[in-house]
Amino acid sequence: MTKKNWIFSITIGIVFGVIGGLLGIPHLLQAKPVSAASTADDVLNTTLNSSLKWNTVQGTAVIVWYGENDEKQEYLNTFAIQQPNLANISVKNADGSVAASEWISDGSKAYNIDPQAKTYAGGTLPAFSKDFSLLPTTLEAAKNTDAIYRHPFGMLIPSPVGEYLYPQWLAQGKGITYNLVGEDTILNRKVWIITYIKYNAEVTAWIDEETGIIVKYIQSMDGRPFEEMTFTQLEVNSPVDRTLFILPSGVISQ
Amino acid sequence: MKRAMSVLISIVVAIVTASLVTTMVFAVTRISESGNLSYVSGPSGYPSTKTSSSCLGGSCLYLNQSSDPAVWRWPYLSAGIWNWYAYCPSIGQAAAKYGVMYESWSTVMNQANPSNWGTDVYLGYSDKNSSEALFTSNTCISGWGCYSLPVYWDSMGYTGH
Repeated sequence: MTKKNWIFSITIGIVFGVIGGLLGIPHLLQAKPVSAASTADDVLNTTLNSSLKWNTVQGTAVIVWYGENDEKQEYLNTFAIQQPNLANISVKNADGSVAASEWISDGSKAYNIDPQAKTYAGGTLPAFSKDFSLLPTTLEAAKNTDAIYRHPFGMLIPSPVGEYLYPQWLAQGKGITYNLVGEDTILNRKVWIITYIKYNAEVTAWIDEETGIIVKYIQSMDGRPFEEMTFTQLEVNSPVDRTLFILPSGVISQ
Repeated sequence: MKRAMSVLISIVVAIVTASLVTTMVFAVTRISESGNLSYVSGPSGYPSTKTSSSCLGGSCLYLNQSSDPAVWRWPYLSAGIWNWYAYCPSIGQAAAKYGVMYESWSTVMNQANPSNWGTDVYLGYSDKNSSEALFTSNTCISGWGCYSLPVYWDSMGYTGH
């Protein structure tokens, strides 16, 4: 082979290598054969594509955290979301006495509001919040990701309720065997119940069959209660008051 | 015959080179937390070291949750950072806020979520091709449990533009 051919070959290799790297060919090569479909896989597939199954959600969720000395912290989360990126999330103490925080996305900017101080800090929604290219959409892809990829808008929500409204992370758990243990009805909605164990954590999750949203979640650590989350209200695809997505008057920039 | 052999070798060389460059372009660069954090704001005092096989490389740094948080960052990095990742140790129980210094966005990674344990968690990307640094702090985040639990600084990773 002549020197000219060597240079030509290596140049072509570099060009295709860069293109391949950017297109994620290593990911494609890592894909493994699909395991036989099971009902648990169907549940995970529903969570993976959850955000395609609803346009608006609004409701409330109570989340209880347990400390090592039997302390308890309880929060009421109120949420209203319209796809793709309008949201209003507020967190209060469970008795409603103190509004701890509020987060609003108007589609171009997001605002963290301190209801006590009546101040806010705002910033433009980052570009990745609208970029779905890394989010796996099939179970095969989810099981072969190099990291946990959360929903790009859901991961910006600074409240744990964001994890349950955008449950795409669930199907990406490495080294987890999921057990579908039954069905139930919560808030007049049919739900699947799945359980799994990883290290010292035991999880039971109740997953809405229509939307894939996790409407109830219990986690224990070393046999002790750690977290209990329950949706207490849920409306799917009902009209949402658009003023919820506008920065309220009466709050000033920090 | 000689010409055909030359073409064949050219194709093989091109494929091998493409594979090597593809791997290099896609590789995640890792930065260990050990001894490399830089102070940004809040109370002074370097994070403590936790020796555990649950941490990447056998140890993590940590500070207990506080309403008077200290902010630390990984060293400033050269321009061209794209995707950001943080490794989640399998002993976490707190929620950790991560963000980039200049583009002013942050996300919360739940270190208590078993799905995150023992793997990298994607944090987002830097849109501008400018020098950036990733920060985190031991702040209590409203809505998550706050019992002075350890917030871990384990290794972070990134890919370039």
